Amino acid sequence: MRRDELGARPDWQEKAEAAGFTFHHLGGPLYWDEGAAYAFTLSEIEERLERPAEELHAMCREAVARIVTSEELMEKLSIPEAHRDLVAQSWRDGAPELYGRMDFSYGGEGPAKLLEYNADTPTTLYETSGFQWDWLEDMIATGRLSEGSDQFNGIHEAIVERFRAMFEPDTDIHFAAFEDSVEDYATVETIAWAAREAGMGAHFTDLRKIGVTEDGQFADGEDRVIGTLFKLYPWEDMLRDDFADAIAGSSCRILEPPWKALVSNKGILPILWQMFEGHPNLLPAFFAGEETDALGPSHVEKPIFSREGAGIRIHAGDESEVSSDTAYDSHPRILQAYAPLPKFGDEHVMCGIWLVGTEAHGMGLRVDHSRITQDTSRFRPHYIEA
Amino acid sequence: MTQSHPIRKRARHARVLLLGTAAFSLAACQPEEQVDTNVFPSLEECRALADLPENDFTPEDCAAGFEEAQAIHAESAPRYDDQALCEEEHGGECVVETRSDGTSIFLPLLAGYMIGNMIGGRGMAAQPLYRTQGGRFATPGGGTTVSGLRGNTQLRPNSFAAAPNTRAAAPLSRAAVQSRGGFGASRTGGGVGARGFGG
Repeated sequence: MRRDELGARPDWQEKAEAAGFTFHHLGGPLYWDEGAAYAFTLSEIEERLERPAEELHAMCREAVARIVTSEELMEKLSIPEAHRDLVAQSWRDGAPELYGRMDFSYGGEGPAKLLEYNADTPTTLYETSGFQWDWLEDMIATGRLSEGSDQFNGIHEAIVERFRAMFEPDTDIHFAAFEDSVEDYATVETIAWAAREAGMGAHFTDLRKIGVTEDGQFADGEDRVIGTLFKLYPWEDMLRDDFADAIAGSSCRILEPPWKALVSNKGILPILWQMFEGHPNLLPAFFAGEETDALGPSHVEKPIFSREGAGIRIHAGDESEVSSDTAYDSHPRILQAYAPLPKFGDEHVMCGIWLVGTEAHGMGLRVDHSRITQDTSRFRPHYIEA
Repeated sequence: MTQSHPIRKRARHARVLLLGTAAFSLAACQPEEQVDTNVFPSLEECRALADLPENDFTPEDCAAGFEEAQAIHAESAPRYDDQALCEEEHGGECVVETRSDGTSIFLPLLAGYMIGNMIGGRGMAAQPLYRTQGGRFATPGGGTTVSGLRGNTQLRPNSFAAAPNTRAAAPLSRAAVQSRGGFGASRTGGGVGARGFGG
């Protein structure tokens, strides 16, 4: 793994605009930043990141099988009592998963350490699977990277195949998100493209416009019944909404399936550590308030539900840092051993490995001056050296 | 996808998808087909009109439609335990049916019926019509109302669908929505602006 000062394509901004990728700047500062890229070797990708991610996903599935039989663990993960059956039943039914993203601390040396698994509502998909892919094609076409250069990025094709495997042809799928959230919309649109390529019908509805019919089914903003719903909205919020009680009787298939509420929950981290203590890709982790001597003096406090770095507190002497976002501060917390993000130049790097189904199919990198990767962290492309 | 000799690690195609345009074009603007519909207060009036050259339905359509409307009436007519309520809801006389246990149940009278020439060779469909409180005429379940019992109109195909009470409706069929807005309130992450969940 190496940072490579390749320089940006002179026309990247026009290309972004032409593609409708309007959030390449986030209210001023640069978000998509191809001024530098990261280079990997093929074996590094396959052995250090791809294989561990698939192994960790399999371990998460083992953990879910255990959690759904334990009221105590469901309680620790703050799954509302009324909806534990919904979560457990989706696992027993074998409801298939579509996608997720594991975030790793990895800098080229030693095993990648899993920081968390956004297994329910990962975003940044468009820039990873589309714009980053196009960047490499351009760099090769203009001779700035050699012909044999590659990228860990089969995400688009993998999602198309996954849809084909999950649903009958012509299945109508509703995609729900907050329409005014540009990046969420880009992510669902990217998935909807893949669904259409797989032969499915794709329909958008703003999440807040979903209704319940007289028969207890969900309907979109135009009163059309929803048979299959992809929602870019976290299960932990969904299970606390007014319509939570309607889910079980709605005859609606929902993506991700309800059991992903257990995996995207940071409470999975101490459970994984308990089940697979010492695994090279895991960091020691514990529920706050439990015996935590094994953590050592440097650790990170995380709310069990949080995204974009919100609510994270690093306790590590001089490196201590506290997230300014307190939206999740009322949630239960876990403690995880501190694995500093590797630093290249003046930026910290986090490797996001994308899972489609049970397999790893791509990578996106986020960089930040801060030790906590957050919503304003920049996205940098990567390539595999020829 | 861990393989010993992968050909390449990236997709053969991913095209830079054009955001904000066409992924959901189906949802955005597919104009719904319309069903050419004729409304009658009685079988006799339908038959009389069928003989006029400008009308494209036949006396046989009238009879078949009336029969179908009566069958749906028997299955799906609004039913009330209380005679006064039935009369109030339907602005007029209601008839009584006796249940097997001897109790009484009240149904509005069939005020008229409509027949529609379904698109795509699906033949003719019919629905009974009942007077509403407001003096209009509605299908069983109230999904479609028309203002009078005579004339020609364009309706959505679903106006001829079975009343929504027997089984789960099929995806994308239209259904009566009771309440909205039950998702989204618990949103902790994100917020209005460019970025949302995930990171």
